Amino acid sequence: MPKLNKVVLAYSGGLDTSVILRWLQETYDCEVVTYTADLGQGEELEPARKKAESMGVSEIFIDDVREEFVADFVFPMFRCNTVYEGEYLLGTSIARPLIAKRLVEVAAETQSEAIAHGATGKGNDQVRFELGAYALDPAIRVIAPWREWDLNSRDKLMEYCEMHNIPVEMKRGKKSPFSMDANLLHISYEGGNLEDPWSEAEDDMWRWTVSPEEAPDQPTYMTISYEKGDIVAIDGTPMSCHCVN
Amino acid sequence: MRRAILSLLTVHLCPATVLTELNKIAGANGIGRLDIVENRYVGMKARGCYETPGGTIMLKAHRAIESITLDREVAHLKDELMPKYAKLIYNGYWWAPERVMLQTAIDQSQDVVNGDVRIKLYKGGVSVVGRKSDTDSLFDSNIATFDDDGGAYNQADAEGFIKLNALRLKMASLRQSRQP
Repeated sequence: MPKLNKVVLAYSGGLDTSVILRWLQETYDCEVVTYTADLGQGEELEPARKKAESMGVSEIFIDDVREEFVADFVFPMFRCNTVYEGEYLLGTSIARPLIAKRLVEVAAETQSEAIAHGATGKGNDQVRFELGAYALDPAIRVIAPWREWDLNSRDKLMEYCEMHNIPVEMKRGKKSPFSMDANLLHISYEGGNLEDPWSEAEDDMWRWTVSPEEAPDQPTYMTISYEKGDIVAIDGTPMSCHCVN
Repeated sequence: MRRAILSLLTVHLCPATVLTELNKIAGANGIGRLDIVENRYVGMKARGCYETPGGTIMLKAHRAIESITLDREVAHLKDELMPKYAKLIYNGYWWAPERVMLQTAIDQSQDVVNGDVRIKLYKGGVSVVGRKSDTDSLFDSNIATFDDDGGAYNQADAEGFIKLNALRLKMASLRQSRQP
């Protein structure tokens, strides 16, 4: 295996990807470039910049890709009324090709030989990131730390942080027991009590919707306008791509 | 009312803002929760919960505007392709040539999908209450009406249509009754 000089890491600033960042530096003796994307997950991104800087990263990419996400991925998907297995609206699946594209682009820009992601070896996301990357750049190398290391519990991750001086903020409040993925299209929840398929989700798990019981007693009406299969207006208000947000 | 005035004072919205707006309204009305066990590409079943408030409205509204603008066979063919297309996205094949090929067909079908849909949101439910297309509607109330249509549709034509479609069913049945 040729020596790796630089790797672009899909970096959220959280615990897992911070451990990955350090692990890449230690294990491959390489530079890490961080790529952080705003897909509408509702989190501040600038903390990721500071964290990456504190961990010795000098090339930091932070993108607001919400427009591209909806215009080039979500809207085209909805033109087909796309549903997986009768119900799932593919909220996580449709974000991965955009991240793969950006990782490959940033790798080219920074002359990085590889990209790295924080998806585990048990899930779909590793497949999505990597198939996308290889399709867009057949020469790219991919590193998937979760498939290589033995840090298979939160305790082991925390231990690694202590041993390698990775700053960990103790977030106020209870950490969610669920593994979550969020973007402008959806939030997903896995793990915790959900690992028992017979166990009902608790009402306090949900974040973006009220329960039907809590919803208003009066109906809400809206008019949605379409051009060539895409929404262009809500309640008569036209929407073009000159967004000032 | 207030939202429209605010919008005139600010600037035009755009795809990301469309989805953000829909998420807000849908979320407030309890729309978009999903609890499923799904088949992962790597082979196991996984249980997951999802909140897709705006997307849930989009799915319903889009089918509604297609119902009035798409030719029947185009609509049915699209529905046959949809699970294949969904599987490609789910499994990670967005950048694969077969997804790009399907996208061309899907996008071509959408040239006529223009118009408005009226949606009612209530306690977790999304209902379509009206749909119209000023430019591309295939709906002709003259043809569909129960009232006197002035000859727009000749009911006698239906007898021949049924007879020819029944012919092969009759042949299959006759064969069955010939067999001991």
